[in-house]
Amino acid sequence: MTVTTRRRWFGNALSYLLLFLTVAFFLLPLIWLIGTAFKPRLLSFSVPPTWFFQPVIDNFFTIFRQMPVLQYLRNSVVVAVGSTILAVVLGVPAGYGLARHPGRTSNALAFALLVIRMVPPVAMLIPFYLLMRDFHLLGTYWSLILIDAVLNVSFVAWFMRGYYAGVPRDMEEAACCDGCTRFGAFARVSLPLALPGVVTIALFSFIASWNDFLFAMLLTGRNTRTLPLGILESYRAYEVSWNLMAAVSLFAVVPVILLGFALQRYYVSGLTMGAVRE
Amino acid sequence: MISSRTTDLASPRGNAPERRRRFRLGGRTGLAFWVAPALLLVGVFAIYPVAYSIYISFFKYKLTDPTKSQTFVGFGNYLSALADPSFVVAVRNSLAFVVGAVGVELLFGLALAVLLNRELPGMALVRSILIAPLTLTPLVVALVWGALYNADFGPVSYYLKQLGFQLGRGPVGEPSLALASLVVIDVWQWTPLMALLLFTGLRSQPPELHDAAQIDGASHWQRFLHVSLPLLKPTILVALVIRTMDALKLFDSVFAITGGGPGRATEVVNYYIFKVGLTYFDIGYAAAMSNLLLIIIVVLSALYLRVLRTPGGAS
Amino acid sequence: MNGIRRAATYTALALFAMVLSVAPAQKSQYAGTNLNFIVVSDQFSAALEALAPVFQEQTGINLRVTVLGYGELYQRAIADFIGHTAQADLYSTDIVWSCQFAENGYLTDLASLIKRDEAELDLDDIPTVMWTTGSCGEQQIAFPLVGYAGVLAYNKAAFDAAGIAVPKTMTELATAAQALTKDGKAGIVMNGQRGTPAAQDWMFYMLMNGGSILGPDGKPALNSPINVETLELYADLFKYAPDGAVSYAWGERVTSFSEGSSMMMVDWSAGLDYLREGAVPVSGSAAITTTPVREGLDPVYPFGGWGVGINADSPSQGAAWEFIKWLSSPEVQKQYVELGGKPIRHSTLTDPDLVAKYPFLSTILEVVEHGDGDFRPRITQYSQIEDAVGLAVNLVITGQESAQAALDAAQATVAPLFQ
Repeated sequence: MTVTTRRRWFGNALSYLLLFLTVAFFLLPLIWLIGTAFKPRLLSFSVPPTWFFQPVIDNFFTIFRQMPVLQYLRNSVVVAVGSTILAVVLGVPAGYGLARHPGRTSNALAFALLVIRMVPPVAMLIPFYLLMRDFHLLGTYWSLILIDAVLNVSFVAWFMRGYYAGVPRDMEEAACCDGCTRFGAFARVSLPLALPGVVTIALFSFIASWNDFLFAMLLTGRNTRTLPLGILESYRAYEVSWNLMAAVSLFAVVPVILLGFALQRYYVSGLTMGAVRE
Repeated sequence: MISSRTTDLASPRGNAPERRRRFRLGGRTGLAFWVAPALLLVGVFAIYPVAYSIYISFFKYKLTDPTKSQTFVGFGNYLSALADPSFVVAVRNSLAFVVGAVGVELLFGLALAVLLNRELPGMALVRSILIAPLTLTPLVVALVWGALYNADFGPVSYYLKQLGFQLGRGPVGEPSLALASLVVIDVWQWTPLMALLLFTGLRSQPPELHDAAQIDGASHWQRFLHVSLPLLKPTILVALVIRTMDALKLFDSVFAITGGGPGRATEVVNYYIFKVGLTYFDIGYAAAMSNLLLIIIVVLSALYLRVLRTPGGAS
Repeated sequence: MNGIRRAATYTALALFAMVLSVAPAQKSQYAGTNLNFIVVSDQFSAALEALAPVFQEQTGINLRVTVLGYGELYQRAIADFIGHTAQADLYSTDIVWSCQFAENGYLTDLASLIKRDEAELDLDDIPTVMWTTGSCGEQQIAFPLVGYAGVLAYNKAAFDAAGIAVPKTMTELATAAQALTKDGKAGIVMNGQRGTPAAQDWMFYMLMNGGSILGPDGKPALNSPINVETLELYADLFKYAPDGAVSYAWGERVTSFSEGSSMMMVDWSAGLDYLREGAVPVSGSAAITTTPVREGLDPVYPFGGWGVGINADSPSQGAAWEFIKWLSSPEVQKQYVELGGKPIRHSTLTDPDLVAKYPFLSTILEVVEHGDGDFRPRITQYSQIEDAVGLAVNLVITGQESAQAALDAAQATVAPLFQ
């Protein structure tokens, strides 16, 4: 072998080793979680930890008895989808507008929107609760959808602004020589062009909304409780049932991982455009 | 809004410069059209809570006070916060946490991004696996790591002890280890975000610059330092802003695992605000502290934007 | 095993409902009302969920039970009261919230209703200390829902094997803990996590050792000599506790004992799962007894629990009160115990059938007869006192401060709240 080939071989082997260690680091806790969901109660605490065991599905029966897991799942889906749609429908045009009208106002607005997302959520909790009471929206899906949309729309707008800054105007202008309106150009050309970015930020908004429990704690009613609350419920402070908590967590965790896998090809290119241009 | 449309339709098909001029004719009205709906949503539903939070921060007001008295104290709450040892320690811990977590995530993420950039078979699979921690509910992540860290029956403690480490009271029981243990949790969940952002940044760098440097005889390391890194600045900026913003709002792991302990080791601002605002219901004081935290976050972000914005580096 | 037990319970329940409905089924005047009851996720909540359909069968009132964790319950309740949103008609209220809720008028004062219906309620059958779950001065803002006895849970098999007697005094407790810390096992386990976990557990020991939070003038005296001594004692006990105990909350503490890793713990009688056959590794070896008391002091035992209160904003006051009366009736109390609840009536605690099946009831009875429900002051400032104590305890057990200094600091934090 030549020196370079040997060096390349060594480099590749090292890369794979590092990658393996890294992937192991990121995957092991997740594997522990999944495993615990299938362990009988007695095994969840064994010392030394058991990695090989006979899986059982009793935990799932138990949690279905203890709480309406599927209802929580449905509620989480409704809230996350609803708030994501709202955030995207309002935020993407906003980001586009901000990108296409650069200037002091635009910068100020973009930063102001970002600041909304910087506010510690605890500060907004009680006032928002009272606001929802006055709108008679407490306990409905809308209260959560609205607050999640508000928090996400700023991020969507900020991100899409960066994204569109990197998309050349030529194609939009070309479309307009066919006599379309600004909005038409946007809908027909700019939006499809930005699809990877939109999908990326939609995914992140969805995840943010799906995982919230602080607002859900105060704003949901009997029928609108979401999965994170179910997880807290299963983590009964008194006799912690790790196996039950793990089982409920799977319902919260698996759908999103699957969604992420499915949309993988979008967000890699989506992140490119949104990230490089600021 | 209507004006710009009629302008478009009414004008004859001119050459490109005229059309481009007409685009800009929309000016501020055009901007308003695009951002109005979003601003409306934010205005109606976020402005009131934020405004109320600012307003109430000037009062001494406890929600559970039978007399429901709201005493105006001006900046009293802010001054109390700055003199409150709990708040000061919390700010210190939060900043230490941010430096530790974001710093490690940046370095680790960068290394990972470089690794991922090497065209080796299986990279796509690795990238898919890597986003898993990002998608998890932070609360679940905290509970899982809390169990893993348990000094007596947690796997992490068990294996660390097997390897000979002296853990004493455990990763979250020893005052010297606790905050670092929480940093590890944050690193575990968010490094993939950094890595992916930086990876896409690396990917989008024009190869010509790299080739030119290589022709000039630069080594791998030199190429990295003088070509890749500078070009990555905008991406790094975005990543830093996002992560700093969120790291300063750390809550779930403190809530789920340590309760701020051992001692004051893991007391962070957001958790203290939660305790004051939602357990003591002293919302005047909580609002003042929230605003102080907000100021810190805004200042840090503005600082990043100023320091890392290179002329010509961004679009 | 669990499934069979559940099936048997539900069958019993169904029979019970049938029996009750054979008696003149007078549907209540409130039949058709919907009642929302928000309950904490302690073990007795399962009993309430199971009893709801029985209540409906009998009275025609539709009771919907929602179970929430402690923190969530508290925040929801306060938000509900502040916003006057009447999200629930009935709330389970922790004993320590009594005066905070009373002073704010969040819940309806039941004193007059109790007086009016006292014949029906047979008040003499309810031990005096039970009323602390919802009393504040002259007001009774919550009716006893479940009474918890603070008990010493211990691994009887280990004690027998080592030939040690069950400790009755504080010194004996420390000695036993030391003697049983061997072969990788811990003699005792306590909560160490900063905040409520550490505070609550330490306050058990404070009572056991004869200390108190408030001084004779009703103002806090956290750094009294006895309290300092108790904190030093508590910190000392961590030598005989598992390594990680300094960050334990109830979940880990109970697990440690249930797995057989620790030989003793002071616990509430809320779940007592470890006494249930086959539930956990230590079932069959575990037993409970009254908590140790400092030498020379008259026995006083920790008492806690939950009350059930009617939301002052609720439009269904009558129906809610009817539920409370129904739940506290002797017949239902018996079934309540079968389903995992802990009774409020003396007659239930001494019922021969129940005692035969659940011997721990006699221990609970003894605690209740000498119980102190005020060792954790049920005043408005309680959560801040608890927090200050929780920090102090945690600082001392992690070796960061001396007991005197920590309690002095806690006292300084808390004193301004009492001006």
